[in-house]
Amino acid sequence: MFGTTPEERSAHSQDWENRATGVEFIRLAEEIDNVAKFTWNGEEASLTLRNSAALREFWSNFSGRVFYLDITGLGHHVWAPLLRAAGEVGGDIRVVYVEPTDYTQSAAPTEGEIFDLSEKITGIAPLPGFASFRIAPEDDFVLVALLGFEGTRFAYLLEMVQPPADHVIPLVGAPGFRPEYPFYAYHGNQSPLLDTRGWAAVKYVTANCPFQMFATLKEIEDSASAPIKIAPIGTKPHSLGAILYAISRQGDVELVYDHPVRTAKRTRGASRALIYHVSSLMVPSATVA
Amino acid sequence: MANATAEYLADRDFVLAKCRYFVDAQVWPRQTLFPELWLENFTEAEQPYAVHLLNQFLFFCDPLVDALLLGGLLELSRLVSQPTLGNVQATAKWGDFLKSAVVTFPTGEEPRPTDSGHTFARKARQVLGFSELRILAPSEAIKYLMDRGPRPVLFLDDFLGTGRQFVATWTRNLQVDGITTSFHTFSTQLAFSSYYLPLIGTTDGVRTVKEDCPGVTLSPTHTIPPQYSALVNDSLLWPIDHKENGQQVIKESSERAGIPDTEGTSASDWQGYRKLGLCLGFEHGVPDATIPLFYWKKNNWKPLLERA
Amino acid sequence: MSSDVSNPQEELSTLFGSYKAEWLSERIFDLFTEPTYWPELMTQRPCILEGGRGTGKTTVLRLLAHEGQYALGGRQADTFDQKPFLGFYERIDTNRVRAFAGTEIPESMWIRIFGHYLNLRLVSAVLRFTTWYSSHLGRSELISDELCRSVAYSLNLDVSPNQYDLYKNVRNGLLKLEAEVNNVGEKVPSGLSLQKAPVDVLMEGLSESLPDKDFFFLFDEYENFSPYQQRVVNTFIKHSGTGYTFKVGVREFGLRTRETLNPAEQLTSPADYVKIRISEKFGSAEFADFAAQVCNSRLARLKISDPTAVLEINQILPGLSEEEEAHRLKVDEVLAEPLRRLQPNLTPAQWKAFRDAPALEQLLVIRWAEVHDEPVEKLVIEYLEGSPEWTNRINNYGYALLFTLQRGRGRGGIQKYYSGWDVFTSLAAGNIRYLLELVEQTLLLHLESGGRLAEPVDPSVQTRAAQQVGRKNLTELEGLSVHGARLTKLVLGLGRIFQLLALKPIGHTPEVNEFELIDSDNTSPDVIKDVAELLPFAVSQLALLRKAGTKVSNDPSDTRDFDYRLHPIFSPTFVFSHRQKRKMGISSAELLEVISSPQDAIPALLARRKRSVDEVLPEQLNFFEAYFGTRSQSADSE
Repeated sequence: MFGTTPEERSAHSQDWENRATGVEFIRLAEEIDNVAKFTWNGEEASLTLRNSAALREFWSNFSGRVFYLDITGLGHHVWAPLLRAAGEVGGDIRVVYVEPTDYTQSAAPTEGEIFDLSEKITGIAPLPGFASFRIAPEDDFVLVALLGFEGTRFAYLLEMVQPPADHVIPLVGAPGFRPEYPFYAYHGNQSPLLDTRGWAAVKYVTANCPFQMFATLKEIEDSASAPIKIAPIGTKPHSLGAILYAISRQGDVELVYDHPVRTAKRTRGASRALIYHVSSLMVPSATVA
Repeated sequence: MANATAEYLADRDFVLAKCRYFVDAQVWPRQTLFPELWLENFTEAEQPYAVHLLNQFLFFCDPLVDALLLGGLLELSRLVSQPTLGNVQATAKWGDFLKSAVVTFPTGEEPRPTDSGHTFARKARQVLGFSELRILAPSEAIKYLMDRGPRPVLFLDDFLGTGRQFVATWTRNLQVDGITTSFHTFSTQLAFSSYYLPLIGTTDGVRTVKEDCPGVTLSPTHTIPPQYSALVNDSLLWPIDHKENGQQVIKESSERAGIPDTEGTSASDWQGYRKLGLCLGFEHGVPDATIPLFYWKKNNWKPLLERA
Repeated sequence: MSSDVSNPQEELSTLFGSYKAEWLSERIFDLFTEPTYWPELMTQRPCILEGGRGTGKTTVLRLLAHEGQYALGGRQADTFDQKPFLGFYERIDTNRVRAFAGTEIPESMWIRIFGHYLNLRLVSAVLRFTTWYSSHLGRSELISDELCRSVAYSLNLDVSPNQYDLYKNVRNGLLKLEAEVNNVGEKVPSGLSLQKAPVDVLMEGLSESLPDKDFFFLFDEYENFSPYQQRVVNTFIKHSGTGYTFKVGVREFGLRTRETLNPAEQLTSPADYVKIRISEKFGSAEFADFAAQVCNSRLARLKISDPTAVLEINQILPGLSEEEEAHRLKVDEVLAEPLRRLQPNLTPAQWKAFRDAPALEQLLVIRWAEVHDEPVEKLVIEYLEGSPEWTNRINNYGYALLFTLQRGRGRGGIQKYYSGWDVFTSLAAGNIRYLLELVEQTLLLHLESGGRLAEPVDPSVQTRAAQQVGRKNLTELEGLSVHGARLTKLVLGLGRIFQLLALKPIGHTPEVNEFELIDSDNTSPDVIKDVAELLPFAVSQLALLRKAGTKVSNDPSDTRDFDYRLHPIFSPTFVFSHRQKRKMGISSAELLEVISSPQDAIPALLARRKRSVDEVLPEQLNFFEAYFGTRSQSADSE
């Protein structure tokens, strides 16, 4: 299952579709207001993303088969509820992600750059099916933020979420997709990291590894003095780890997400496809080895 | 840091502010890098290029080195455990691997106390959790396998440049219990698997190791293409319009500092060993592929950082 | 003087650095200073406290809450019992309230679901208090078992025979609602309670236990509610009054609707609530007093035993007179050449009298002559005769000349001083967070440049700190809201325009830092609309300040009825006057062009006002050279 965005990377499933036999491809045709329409093999299904029974039923159509969910071209708000429903149904689910490689374009923070949030995000709102009312607004909590390079997103999130002092744990992708990326993450997030003193709590997690993310979040929550909120605004594999973790905690951790707007050609080129065997993390109370 | 599409050279205040912030945020350890002093080496005309070069310099502090090392091992786990086996088996297989593997390091002809091997011996224990009993010098590693049977051998390293040092380590004859053998020879006699995990490898070095040591599974945490050199035509480190001047500044200031021009044969050649032209360093040491301008200390040249 | 503080930087940041009340946690109570409007909040009437970011709304609301009142009363049960009111604080969390939206069900249904949620939250806030009351004050339980049963019944919860069970069941009710909202595409939530009813039941019961108290629900960040949610809460507010009321903290323009659920009823002030606009409550004198109290109480906490220590903020931040500042900015060098030419044309007595005059006034006479092409000696004589015209000119242009003294001397160094307590309070413009930032940054820079705590700080250090604070807030603007980028560009454009205008005041209006919108009748409605949407954001995010303008139209919400001033916190960074002075007319179209294509629009706008842009950017703005397209000319500045 996949969707395509203007990014080149997400077109790989399309290539695969043209070449593969014995594989059924399900394509996200459109999604409007929490309703996603998928097409496959002449069939079509409109899925309301806040309808767990319908999502489970959809998966049941394919029971007994290996299912590959390609998240490269799908928004979190589509794949996260799908992934949870898949876990509830059981079966062999594998998540596909294509790493970006682009040695021609720079992601480095530059001087005087003005970052336009209105072109980049739609704002803080729960992911469909992931609203959590457990951590009350008056409660103490720890914010775990999965950082990208765009510090403005992190700053905006802090402005909206207002974590207590010294209760911010930033997770930086290291090793990153490229050796310089951890430094971009630090530099891009300079002012929020300094303001919150979050730099002192930074932890590193391999940028392409949801399993390490899962394990790190578990460690953080186990040793935290308060419930945690997780902001999956870093790499997709990091987000995958975070959402798998949230699924495993059944609502006891809160996800805070700013819903990026999809833009054309954010990254170019594709290097390798990673396939994550996530089924083991999909059982409630699962732990990573 | 690679920034090929930038139109401009980086601004001085912007870069120095970043350097100060890196120290404040402990990305750079205190009293280790001296950007302002280093910039004093350059003439007024050279300043913008020196500032830009400074901005591109990658310094991996110890915690980041640890993260890279751990990331490399995780990557290896994917190769070793073959997830297609199914999760339980895959996990068990990786567990067995970690419990039996022997950790060792590529070494030069004459092992020196500053070799990164010592750093990595410590990290293998502290960061990766290997038992001290299985962290061994190359000849000891062979002996361990002779005594206790085949098991995976893991070579840890910070930097794979040309690949020659690893090829030499792999093929070098060692005296083990009165027998002369090498990893290569020994691997034809005893079926054991070998893995080489550098934190950063150049594409050329990776190719060399793969060609010359086909029995070794090579898994660098990062592989960097030649464009990470400040001195190649298609360097990612300079804005297009400033590349020639930038490279000229490196050449001229290296001459002024008295850095030798040996066509890349010396480890302190102005272009870096084998003209690799890189701009990176680790807290435990700077690879010889890095251009010496950054660590040079002679002729009153003020280094950005100590080499090791 | 030796400082007793082992790590003064950290000490300072602890006292001044936690600008955000929410980051202060418990210390918020100990460092509280009552603002002038404090008594107005303690009445039984609903209040809407409106103020920009950093004006202290959260601090005030948290202090009204029972935890705050307890702390203010020295954490004594008796003192607490005498308080006339009890407050329950509730911050509106976007990530929560946004869950109650979506096309799966109609809005009318969301209104019922949200009403139920609100009931659960308010009941839960009160129960949290009653539990706290029993445990902290060792008092018996405030709500009877019977009341618990009634509230549970009204909330459609399981039977709750006592407070403990009720608390547990309210929590379960929230969990049930969470699950239902997450699955709203499959099934409409059930078991909803009637809006407001359970709260009425509970509060009536509570008043019986605590008959002398008023009860306040304190809603912070009201702007985070969506419009329909505000309608729901507005309905609560409209019909409060039976023993409980609401105190609401909201950003300017954050009250998106005054409608209630009853189309015939609007929430109106003063009939339904007291509106407290913080900016109106703080005249400059009131704010300076309040701010001095805030700072001095923090300074008093510095652990310094030296008897000579200066712990009064107005003495720590000495200012400069215009004349002192002129000399620091090297007015004598500016005067030297024109005076040399002038001397032969004056009698020795005239010369002496002129040279005895303040340097800025000498300069004004000389510049006036240049710009108006008149003989200097003639103007000198007029000036010496004390003509009232000159008194006027000195009033209008004297201070403005300070901005011109460093012109043509490169972009480095201080172009204009911003120092002194009075100046700092006007830079903050009623915003306590800005003021604390200015003080903290000044003291940190002072320490960094070898100074000690609790001694007067040199004006140049104050100026550099003010420049940094302005720049920091400029760069932070983009992350405050999704409109941040346009606001950043708006500030950059206006700041640059006012900087350039400040460099050549004579012959023009001096000290321009405000604008009013002047649009011709054929301006496109889209342009008008775009600006009308943007400016409220600019005000609520503190890019601009606004005040009622001179024009009067029939529509009170018309953006064109206001004068807009670039927030003075940015003035040291761009180098324009921090004083509230004069305005220029600007069209909506020009304003949008300044944002969208600054490199063309700024020169064009200035050219239409007979000014040019051939002036360097101050050093502290060099990150924005590429933005303004000034890079090439500044690389080899004079």
